[in-house]
Amino acid sequence: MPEIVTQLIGIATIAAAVRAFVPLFLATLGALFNERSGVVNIGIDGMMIFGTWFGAWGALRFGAAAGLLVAVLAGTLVALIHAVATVTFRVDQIVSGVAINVLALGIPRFLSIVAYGQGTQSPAVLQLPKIDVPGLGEMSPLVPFTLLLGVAAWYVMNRTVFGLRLRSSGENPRAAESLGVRVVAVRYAGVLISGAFAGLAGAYLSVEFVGQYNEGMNQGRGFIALAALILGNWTVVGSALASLLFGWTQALTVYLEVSWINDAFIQSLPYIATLVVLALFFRRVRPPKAVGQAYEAGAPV
Amino acid sequence: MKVEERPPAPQPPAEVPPPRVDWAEQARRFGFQLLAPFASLVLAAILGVLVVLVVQRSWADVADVASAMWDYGLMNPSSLAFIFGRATPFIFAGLAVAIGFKAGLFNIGVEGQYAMGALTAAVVGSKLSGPTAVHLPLTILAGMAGGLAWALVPALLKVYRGAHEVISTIMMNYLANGVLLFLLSGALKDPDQVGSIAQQRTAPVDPSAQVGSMVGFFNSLGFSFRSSAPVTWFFLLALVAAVIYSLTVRRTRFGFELRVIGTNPRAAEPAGIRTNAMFMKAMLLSGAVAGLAGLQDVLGIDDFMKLDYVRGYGFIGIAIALLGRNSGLGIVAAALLFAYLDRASSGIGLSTDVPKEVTYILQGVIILTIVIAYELVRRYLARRQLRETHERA
Repeated sequence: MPEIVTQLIGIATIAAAVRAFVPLFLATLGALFNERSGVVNIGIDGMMIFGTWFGAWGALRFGAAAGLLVAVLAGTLVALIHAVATVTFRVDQIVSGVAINVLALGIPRFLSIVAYGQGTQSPAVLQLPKIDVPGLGEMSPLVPFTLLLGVAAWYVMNRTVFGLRLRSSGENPRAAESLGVRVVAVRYAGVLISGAFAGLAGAYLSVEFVGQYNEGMNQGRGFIALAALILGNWTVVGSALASLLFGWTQALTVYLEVSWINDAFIQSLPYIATLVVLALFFRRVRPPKAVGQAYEAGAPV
Repeated sequence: MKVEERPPAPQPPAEVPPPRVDWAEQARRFGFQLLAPFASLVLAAILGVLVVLVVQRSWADVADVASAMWDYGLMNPSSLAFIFGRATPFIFAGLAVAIGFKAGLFNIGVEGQYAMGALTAAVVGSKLSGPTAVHLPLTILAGMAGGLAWALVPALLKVYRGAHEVISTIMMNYLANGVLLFLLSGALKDPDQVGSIAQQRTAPVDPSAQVGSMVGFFNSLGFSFRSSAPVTWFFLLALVAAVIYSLTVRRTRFGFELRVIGTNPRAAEPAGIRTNAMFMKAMLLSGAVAGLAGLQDVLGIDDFMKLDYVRGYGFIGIAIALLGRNSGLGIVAAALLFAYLDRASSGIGLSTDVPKEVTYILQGVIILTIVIAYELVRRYLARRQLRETHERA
């Protein structure tokens, strides 16, 4: 096999793509829940960043598995801020999301200084025992777990009463409420689930992927996840495929070495891919109809 | 053939008495608007105290922090110079974000746009030379052009492909990092920077494109700033930009159209406003103003663009536009406040045991609470107006 093909689709690249796929897919699933409920969550990137910090901190204090749990709780708590601001106070959803992202720039650094005496990284953490995936080598047990979560998310979204209520709140909240759906509660649930996924996605990065917390390690994955959601047309299966595509471009930043393409360009591949996806697909997809619109329960039409 | 009916001749409008301005009501409304930022500052201060108490478990540390924020932050002879200097990029960034907000656009790309603006200005400033009267304006324009160019892609994606600007501008921020790394470690790297501690940066800006310190001016007014204090004439330019922004938004046709597409894009098209053209103009203008944010560092302080340039102005700009409610005066005030927090942060770092990053928490809390507080005030005022209308009826 020629070198370039190995670099593009060799075992090492595919394995790296799968590892990069996990946080993207988890975050995309989270974004799927809040957007289908009708709330935009730009702050998912910030929630992931909190997840990276609390994942590592929890893993240092209580062990890897507990670290993941701590990160899920932290992500959910941050999401609660977003839910209170957007669903209860009906603040502009993008403004609130950006505010959370700004919080995520400063607070983890403060916490690092308090916890570790320096602002930008944590000590190395113990990881979960690796499992052997045939064909791809050693992987974090979170990889199959993420796939299971994907299946569960598909089932909840498409086969349960809660999923139907969630989707109807994002499509036509007024009609949903007239049929007895408590739109405010459902949207709270959508945003909190999103935060839980984002926290887990962040914790995977720090605990399982890298093995420590580094400032800025999230590298905008939350925003790439939002693009994956668009490319996946707000469906679980589409999100999985889109996340895999973006994961692959991230793997290429490590494994692709072409003499006539500059490294800086290859490093930028995930972001360029996102822009291309926006340019090509944004018109062809169908977002939830009421996404981004505040909803006032019982207000006159 | 039927004769076309003529429209009736326009009647002269009946004499309408000019609406009486109720100054007391105006003052009350203004007071309520001020209440929101005040409440959010108080809340931030309370939370700040709580954080210090949780981390250090002593009231003495709270007192230490408070005195550092007061003595070093504000009362040191050079404090104001640092605050003015720091506020300069914040004002430009806040204005850039506010231009977008006015048009209903969310320009999160200020971060990348000012980096590209700083880079193009550094290139034009270092590769060319000539009389300052030509070279300096040219360099500043180059900075604006750099920011504008970086806003062009999201603007095109928005207008022609319908892609929401939030994701595309963020991607452009990351792309700017890649481009800077590529150029500053390659084609634009200063050839004199060799050896083991080589910085990845451009060649120095020619003196003819450098902007002077404003310390002499302030000291002639009676201040006693130390001569190395980082306040340059860009501070004045930032204030002028804020005034121009206010006048443009309130008094010009362009400003009016900007506000229309921002508040009600569906009403814009029937009113003869070409929405897409306005989105384009607003985004590009926002990028151009963003291009000014990094110039003080490049043309007044460092005199070159480096890979580890000061980051974060773009995100602080969002906070400042929100806090200042997109008004020129509000943005200047918010920028001064954030610059003061920065200065106070150094003071906390120098003279207390509390991590100086505690001010980041204050900033975040201010942003979150301010939007909620404004929303509550808006709702209260709307409800009051509704009630009054009912009473009158």
